[in-house]
Amino acid sequence: MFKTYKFINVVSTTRLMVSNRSINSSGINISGSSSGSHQFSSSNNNTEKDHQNSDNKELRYAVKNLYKHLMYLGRLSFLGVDYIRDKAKPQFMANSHLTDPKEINICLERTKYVIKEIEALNRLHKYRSLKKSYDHEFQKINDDFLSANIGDSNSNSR
Amino acid sequence: MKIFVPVKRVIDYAAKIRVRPDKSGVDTNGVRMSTNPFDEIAIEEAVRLKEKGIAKEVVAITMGPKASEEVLRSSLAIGADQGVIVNTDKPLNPLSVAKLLQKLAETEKPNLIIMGKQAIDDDCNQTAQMLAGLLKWPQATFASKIEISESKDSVKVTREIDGGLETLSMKLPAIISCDLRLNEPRYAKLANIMKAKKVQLTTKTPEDLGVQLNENLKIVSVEEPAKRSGGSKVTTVDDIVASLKKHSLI
Repeated sequence: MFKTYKFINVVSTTRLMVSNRSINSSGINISGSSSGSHQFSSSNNNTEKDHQNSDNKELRYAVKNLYKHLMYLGRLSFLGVDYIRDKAKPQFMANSHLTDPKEINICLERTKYVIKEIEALNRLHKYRSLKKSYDHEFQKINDDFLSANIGDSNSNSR
Repeated sequence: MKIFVPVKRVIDYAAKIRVRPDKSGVDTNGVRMSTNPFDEIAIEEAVRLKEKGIAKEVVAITMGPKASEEVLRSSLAIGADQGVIVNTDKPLNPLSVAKLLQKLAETEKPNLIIMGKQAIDDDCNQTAQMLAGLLKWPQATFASKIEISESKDSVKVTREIDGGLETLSMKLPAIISCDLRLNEPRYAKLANIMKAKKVQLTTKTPEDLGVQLNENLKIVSVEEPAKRSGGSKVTTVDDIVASLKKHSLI
């Protein structure tokens, strides 16, 4: 439960941060983690739990970073932030209860894969739209694709 | 070796645009703006040269209103070292840009100027050529491959021309303008974008450089292009195969 609370805190602050503020995340992050460490220190001062706490902090940072990167790609890409946010946020939230680093790492790998796919999609879309706009040969082929007489245009220049 | 990369802030390639009713231009209110795609290719090429160790410094340059700084920041995030903005609110045309770049080149003395072949908003395809004329440097336009010699004093450029490819060799300093197939631009990492936000940019004005902006060009009217014909439905697969064969695509 503690983990879910912290994640909601992180995600809501992320949405604030994603709008053009200078991302001095330490200010907002510390309040989040300090409430968490309060909970921890109130229980037995267990070194194993402290170790887990620092691991979880790194993982939390990585997750937040990937989410921010997805939003950045959304703003760049032709898909749009809203589309990406609608797809990504439910999936992030559904996994917010995980505590095992191994499981979290699997989710991180999957997110990195999705990020690569979005970048590739973007690249392809950009290349193809520029080619359609600027490549005269390509446009001619598109226009005359089904026409009977091709002998009019240069058959050498391809 | 120092490389200059002029970049331009244009309407995003995927943004839907409308022509203003009075035909004076395109409606830019609330439309997404981004770096000119050909200039992104130029920045990518310059950063690759830096990563190979051939170039020491990549300077990104832009001209226009203050909002153009975002284009410099994204260039810095990709790997440029410095950002220079020539701040002016007056309309710019290729000759003014070439004159401003000429002044900057004469003071900073770069070895290479790489830029995109044209901007996707005005499609002038003139700045590189005019700059070469003003500086009296050799030029290679529509580059699809750039190779700097071992001795770093000459460059071999493969150009895309009607009917094929042409390879030119020229001494540095030179001007190269990039075509679509030169490389695939990278996406900046979030950490680099954050770092780029804190970098101090150099701001100049045309008055600082002592350049009189050319105001001889006036846009008379802007209209939508004629709808391209083409695109018809087929009934059988054989039709498609026959057409593909006719265009020697398969």
